[in-house]
Formats: sequence, structure tokens, C-alpha cells
Amino acid sequence: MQTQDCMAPRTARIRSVTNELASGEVFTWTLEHTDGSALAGNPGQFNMLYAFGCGEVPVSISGRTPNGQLQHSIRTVGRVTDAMRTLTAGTEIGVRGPFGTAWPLDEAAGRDLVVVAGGLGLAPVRPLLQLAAADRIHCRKTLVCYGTRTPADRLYPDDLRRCAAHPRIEVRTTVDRGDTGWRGEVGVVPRLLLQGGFDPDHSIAVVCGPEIMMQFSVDALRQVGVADRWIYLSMERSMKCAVGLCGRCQWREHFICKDGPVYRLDQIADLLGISEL
Amino acid sequence: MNPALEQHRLMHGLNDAERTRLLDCAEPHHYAVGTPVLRQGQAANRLVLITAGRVEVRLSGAGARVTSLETLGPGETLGWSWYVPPGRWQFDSWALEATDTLEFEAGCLRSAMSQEHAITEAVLGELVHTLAHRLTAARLRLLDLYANPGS
Amino acid sequence: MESLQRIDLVGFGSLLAQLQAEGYTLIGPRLEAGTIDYGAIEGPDDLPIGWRDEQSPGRYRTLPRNDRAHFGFNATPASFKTRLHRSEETVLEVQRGEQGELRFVPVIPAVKKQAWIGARSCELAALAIQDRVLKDSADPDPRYAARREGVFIVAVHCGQAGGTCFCTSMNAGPKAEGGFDLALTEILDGPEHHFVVETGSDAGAALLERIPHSQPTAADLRRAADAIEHARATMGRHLDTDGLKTALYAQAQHPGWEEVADRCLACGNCTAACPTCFCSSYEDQVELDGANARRTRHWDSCFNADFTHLAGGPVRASTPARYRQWLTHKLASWHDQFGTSGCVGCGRCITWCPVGIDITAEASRIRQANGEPPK
Repeated sequence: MQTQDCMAPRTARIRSVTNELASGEVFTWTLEHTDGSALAGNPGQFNMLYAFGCGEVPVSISGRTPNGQLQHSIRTVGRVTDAMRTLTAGTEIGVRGPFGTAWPLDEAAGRDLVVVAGGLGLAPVRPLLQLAAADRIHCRKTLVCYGTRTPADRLYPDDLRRCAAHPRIEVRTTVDRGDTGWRGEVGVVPRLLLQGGFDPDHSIAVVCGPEIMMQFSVDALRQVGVADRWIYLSMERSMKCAVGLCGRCQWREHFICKDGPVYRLDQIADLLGISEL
Repeated sequence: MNPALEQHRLMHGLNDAERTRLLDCAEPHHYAVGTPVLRQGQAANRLVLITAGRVEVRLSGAGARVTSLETLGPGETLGWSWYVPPGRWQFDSWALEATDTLEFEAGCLRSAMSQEHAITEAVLGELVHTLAHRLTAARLRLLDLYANPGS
Repeated sequence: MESLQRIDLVGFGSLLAQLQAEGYTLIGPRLEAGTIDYGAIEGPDDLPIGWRDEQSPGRYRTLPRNDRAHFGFNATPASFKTRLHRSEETVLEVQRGEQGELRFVPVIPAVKKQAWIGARSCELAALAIQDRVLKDSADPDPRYAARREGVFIVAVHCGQAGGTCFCTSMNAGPKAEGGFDLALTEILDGPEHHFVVETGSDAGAALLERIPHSQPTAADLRRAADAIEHARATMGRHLDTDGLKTALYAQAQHPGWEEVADRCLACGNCTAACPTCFCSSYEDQVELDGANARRTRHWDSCFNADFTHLAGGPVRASTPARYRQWLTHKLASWHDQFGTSGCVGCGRCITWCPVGIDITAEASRIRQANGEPPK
């Protein structure tokens, strides 16, 4: 019997590639294992994706197709992801995972689910949008607050439209900069939270985006009265191994790859404001 | 008094007499979609409290693109130029939706403020609060947080 | 099994020869390039007989002794860590077939028998910590585990302490309390030169049976105890660990981090010398044939800018943040992560710091000074 090696990927195949933005900087892979089985993983978790000879990167789970195939949205930010952008449907890749903690979907039961996302931070919460639109989260209502740089930078417009059309989902979007014809909100995401529309005493908030955006969103959520215990964040750090061996993702006592990336705010509130930790 | 107004920061710390004195300066207004609320360069003569609808703050100039800087909604105040020299509106603002406001006339406000310290506190408190929030938001947007760091 | 035995110098030679006969490669201290460091040895003659070292912050010297002590020196520059957690190795090979199909082949070394001669208590404490991190975790490193399996340990209880040693503060010495197969105490008293041997495992006991040994005298036992007591008494440094974790967590924004960072070169010597630092990086390379690729792992350091690299830049951009991470991890967060300190008091990070930064001094300074409120 071969020794188990947590560093050895399983093979997977890119079923399809979708461009998410006109700029081409974000694309989505729909994946399956080479034996045809679906990749495992829950919303909030991540996989390590390997492109032959280029390297491996952590990528959060960003949804499933209607027939259950896992999707990962990837942003081109460096050598490995630039190479990944050139791969076409049918290419074999390597996958390790899933790793890390998931969004606490069960805890949303009977509460208002407030999804707060900024920029590419919509990718890790997109599974929640999909599940909410399919009435598969037992929350009272869902409020999606999403901010991007410009209107053209909004990801997953179809999912946002589907959510907006759902009677128990409200979608609020805002941009840092409007463009010609933009009649929506211009401003930062926390403002959307201050507009209310949910019961702070019976809500659960999930927040994902750049760390500074998350900190200001947390301030706004606290200001309207949501308790830390009902706020969840997804943290990001450098990762090479995803199993606590490389040491890079440490955040004081946490290994974000194992103890996170999804954290309940009251468990990390004392760390959040310390810079360069 | 409208309950939302009663709860508003502007009214905090004021007793009934002071509230009445402050509200004596105010008049309701309605703006249809696409009509201007404040016009850049004109004499700044009032403090605007949005009670319903949505207003867009813009900057326009010769050769410049008309750029939407921020959108404001119910409960937010608009217009501090009446307190700051040279007393002209620095920005345009337009009603993005049918918008209701309560507008405090500047001369009346000044006179109320000169007579009632509590009103000075309330009005300046609201102005500083608004400016601090807008400044923080502007700084956050300056960070360009969602830009692709790899590009 | 607390039966102590005595072996003389001939018996010690037999011990090494017997290990070799049983297929073990001997790894022990050698005098080389001005240092006493671990390497392959063939017998007692390869040991740094009659040599000692002098260690202080940023300083290391080897000097002759006035006796023929075999283990009359302190912590070696490199620890035994290098034998199990290699500084660089291939962990994965990837083959790409003609249709683009991938095959992943983990690279796991065969178990090889190696006997560590002269491992000190701090080394064994570090080994136990590394076992916990790399072998006994939910996702162990099979390469570490394979190498670990073949290790036979002949420990040596310390008979003296170095200028940068503080194992007593970390409950890691100077006497090895376990984790060995055999443990020796070197007795040097005038013409007397032999070892008191303690067995720590069945394998150790079995080996001892195969070499000449005798009952130690009461005087031998007293001298052995005295030697360890001497090491305890000459400990170069001290660290008060009581409440240290809480204090370091509370002082994350202390200006003292800036002060030490003014001296710190962020060179990473301390992390390389440390017997428990395990952080690594992984790199993928493709061979020229385009059909084969491999992933290598090499030691990394929390002092490297690249270590916390995110697309927007490093999380710990400044040296104060990196030093704080290293010291806080070692002395505080390690407890939360692994139920033990990450420091064994070997003093290597002090000796090998090019500017002589002393972890014991920095830790106590940070904890004692009144923290300023967070900026």
C-alpha cells in the first residue's frame, strides 16, 4: 500500500472555462475528477489547484453547476494564475482538498442572512447566493451587499439577477466609481449595511473581501447591532501546503488553512485590528 | 414630528423648545427624478436632510466627465458649504429617484445657533459626523481595494 | 527500566561498532571547519576528543580542552533537524502523458537506519516537538516519518552548559528525560574516563547486552549526578516562562518590537539554526522534456519578505512584525498550536545571530516594560 501523502494531488479535468469579466482577469473552471466523479467541498472551503509544471494555488470554492460539478473562480494575479488562464477545457490539472472551515449554513436557519462581499470576495460566497436562490438555505430572508470598483467589475451578474428576482432575497450593490449610465449606489459597502432592512438581533452575517473592507464592514454590522458571535469572515493568507506544514498562513495561534479560512468574529476579534500580524 | 426625524442624530441632545426652534428653520421639499437638488457654484443657503429617495453627488466642470462621487439616501444630510467659506456649493447633487427632503435655511440656522448653544452642538455635530464618514469612505475608495493587485 | 550500567572507552567503541554491524549509519559530532557539528562518523576517533566550544551572543569558537572528553562541548551549529526535515528535497514527481494525462508520484524515502551519537536533551526535546508538528499531526509529512522511523538514539546528558544555553528554563535539560534508546553520562575524573549508561528502550537494552558493560560503582553514580548538576549550575541564560504567552499576546503592539528590529537584519539565521523551526516553501519546476515536473520543498523563514506574500504584497512587510511573529510563535502561539513551547533553550538562535540578539533578553524586555496603548 502506498503511503498517504498530503502533498500529492488527485487528477481532475477542466470541463469548461468561463470568462467572468470583460478584462479576462477572472475566469471560472468547472471541474470533475478524471474518473468522472464530482470534487468534494463545502461553501467556504478551498482547494489547492495545480497546473502542470507551473505550481499550485489555493482557490476558494465558488459554486456548483446544477448537476453538481464544482466551480472555482480564479483571478490572474501572478505567474501560476497567469498560466492557468491559458488552459482550455479538457486539460488535466491536480487538486488537493477540500481544506479549511466552511460557512455555517445550518446556523442561518430562522435568521436573516446578510452576505457582505467586496470585489472578488463575492466568489467564496457565491455558493450561498446559489443556495439561497434555490431555497436551500433555511433563513428568513437574504440580503446581499456587494461592492466593486466599477459596475463592469461585478462578478456573476446572472446569479445577482436571479437573487434580486427572488421574493426573499434583496441585492444591494455599490461601486467605488460609477460610469456613464450607472444609476445605482456609489460608495463603500458598509454604507449598504447602515441602510438596515434586516433584524440585527436575528441575523447572521458572512463577510468576504479585502481585509480592510471586512474590518469596516464589521464596524458597520456592530453599529447596527449584530453581535460578533453572528458575524463570520473569510481570511486570506499566503499558503503553500494547506495542511499546517508550511507555516506560512499563521495568524498568531491560527493556521488559517486549517482553523480558517472561515472564522466566527468573536474567535478572532482581538487579532483583527493588529497590523502585520 | 416625523418619528425618523425624532430619532435623527440632529435632534439628539435637544429639548422640546430647542427642537421646535430648529424645526422652525426647516421646510419640506420634493424633487422629481432627474432634477437638481444643489447646483455647484451657487450660493450655499441650506442644510438638506434626505427623508426619502436617493441623491447623487456629482462634480462637473469644463471638459471634465460628469462623475458620480457618491449616492446618499434617507437619514443622510447634504450640504455643508453654507457653513464653510466661500459659501458656494462645491458639488452638484441630483435626485436619482423621487426624493423628499427637509431643508434648513442657513440664515435661520445661524441665528438659532447663535442663540442656543445646544443647537450649535447638534448642527456642528451632525456636520462633523457627516464629514468624518464621507472622508473615511473617500479614503477607503482611494485605496482602490478591489483593484487587481497583480496587474 | 532504571538499571544503570557502566561502559568504558573500549565498550563505547564496541557500542558504535555494534550499531554499524547492525546496519546503522553513525551520525555524530565532528570537528570540522572550526566548528563541532554533526556528520557521518566511523568510530570514536572521529569525535572531537579534547575540544570544547565557547558561545555567546553572535560568537562561537572551538578551543582545545585540557582533557580527552568526547562530549565536552555544547550545542552544535546545526541541529539534528537537518537529518529528518531536509533543508531541500523533492516531494512530488509529476508525469504528463501524450494525451495530457497527469500522474502524481509522491517521493518518499526508504527507511534508512541511522544512529545519532551524542544527541543532547535539548535535541531530543526538539525532536519530540518536530514529531508533533510533522509526524503526529492530522496530515503528517511522510518523508519526515520515514526518516524518523530509522533513527536509533544514543543520547548524552550534558556535563556542562554553554554561554547561550537555557534548557533548564524550558524544561528541556540538561538531563535527557526520555526519547532515547541509550543515554550516556561521560565521567571524567582524573584517570577515570568512562560512561554511565541508561537504557530508554528495548532496542537500547538489547544493544547494551551485546557490548561489554559492568555495574557502576556508587562513586560512578555520584559523579554522573554531579556532572549533570554542574551543567545545571553553569547554565548561561535564563528565561522566565511563567505567564509568558499571555504577556506576549498582550504586548503585540509594544514599541520594543521596533527597538529589536533596529538591530535585526531579518537574515533568518535564527530560524535555520533553530531545531524546531519547520516553515517551508514549495516550488514547482518542469523538466526540459516538458513531460516531467517535480515539486521541491525547501526551508523558508518567517523573516523572508516572500513568506507572507499575497497578491497585494507581504502581510508582514516590516522587520518588527517579522521578529514579533518569530518570537511570539516560538514562545507563545506554539503552545496553542501544539501544546508545547516551540523553544528548547538550546541557545543556537543567540549564538548564530550575526548581531547577537538574545531571545531571552528580548522576551523579558517585551514582557516587563509597560506596554503603550495600541497605536
